[in-house]
Amino acid sequence: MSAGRLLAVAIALGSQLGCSVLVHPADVHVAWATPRWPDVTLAELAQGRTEYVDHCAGCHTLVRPEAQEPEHWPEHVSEMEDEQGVKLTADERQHIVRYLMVASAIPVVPKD
Amino acid sequence: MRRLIRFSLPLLALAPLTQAHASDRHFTFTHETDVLSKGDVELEPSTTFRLGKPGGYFGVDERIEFEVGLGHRLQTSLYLNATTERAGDGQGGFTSESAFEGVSWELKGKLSDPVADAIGAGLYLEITAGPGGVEFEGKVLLDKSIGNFVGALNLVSEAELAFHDEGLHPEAKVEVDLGLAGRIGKYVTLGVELRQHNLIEAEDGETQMKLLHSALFAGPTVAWRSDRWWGALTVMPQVARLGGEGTGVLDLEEYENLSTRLLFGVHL
Ligand code: HEC
Repeated sequence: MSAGRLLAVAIALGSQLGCSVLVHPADVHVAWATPRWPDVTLAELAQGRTEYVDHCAGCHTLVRPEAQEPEHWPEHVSEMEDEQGVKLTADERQHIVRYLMVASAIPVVPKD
Repeated sequence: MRRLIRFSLPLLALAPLTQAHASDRHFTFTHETDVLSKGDVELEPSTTFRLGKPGGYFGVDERIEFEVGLGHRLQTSLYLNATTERAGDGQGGFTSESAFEGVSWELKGKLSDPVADAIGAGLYLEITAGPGGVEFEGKVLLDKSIGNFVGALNLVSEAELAFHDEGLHPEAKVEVDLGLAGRIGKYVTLGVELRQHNLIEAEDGETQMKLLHSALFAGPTVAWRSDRWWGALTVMPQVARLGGEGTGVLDLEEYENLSTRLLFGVHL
């Protein structure tokens, strides 16, 4: 395989990997979230993403937010606390649930 | 052998009694980047069967690992290592020997996540001390999970000082491990594992270190997860000698024809 071909394959693979990243919260997410939770901020959603990665990858690979309906996420998080012994503070639970719900509703930030 | 079974069975019996959840592994030779949550403890017994060397050789390596999540994406483990080996005595009989191989300490750190980030990355350090010598092992771990697909790559280097009668004997090992698997339903993954191993040491009576053994292993791997525990099994034949001293398609002087590793994880 020539170096150019190899580079093209590497770039194609790299962009595939790049697409599979968990969405970073953006303004569209805040717009979706504000009618539900008037106090929500972009920083809180970003915090929720970090806490999701830190608290929820200990037993299984992370479940992609869009794999569940937004409305089902609060239930899943409670189930993990009640049945699997996951320990979250009230703040962490709120950040994680809010992040998972917005990321489920908008898994990819639309390009304008 | 009977001793090993006596050793392992009580551990398996524990499984149904303990709570659900465990950091499930999909491969047995290749590590993924996941670390336990802070304060979580897991018991991981691992058994490797090695067979197919000349003279009726049969080896079993037993490792019992206690893993603890430290938080901040770090985890540490303590291992107890034991080996049982059976070899032909050249007169049609066999000798069999069991030995305690020492203890190991491991520290694993996760730098990025295989789902959340473009690629998962981690660092792994293991130190082993036993009656036979001391060993330092470092691994760079990379993995990725997309949909129902999981892939992991490890770059491993190891330095060993073995205690021989004539003094300390240095050895270096370089290894690349690759695992690829797909999920089949909720509980099972099926895949392949590849292992490329190189041993660099000085020949008897010499001081110059050189590549003495190099071989490629590959075989199928299956992993399953229940609510209470997880397990993984790899059957890995030697595929080819890739270099070093000696001749023949396979290197049966240093390596076995077939390695089979069985791993369990039980959350405590
Ligand atoms: C202590 C281990 C553990 C941790 C930490 C953990 N989980 Fe789980 N999770 C499990 C187990 C075990 C299952 C499978 C149980 C089942 O299917 O009923 C599971 C299943 C799930 C499922 C269901 C997947 C499906 O396809 O039905 C979701 C969603 C989930 N976890 C989300 C989370 C979230 C969110 C967190 C962080 C708050 C989390 N998990 C942290 C152990 C854990």
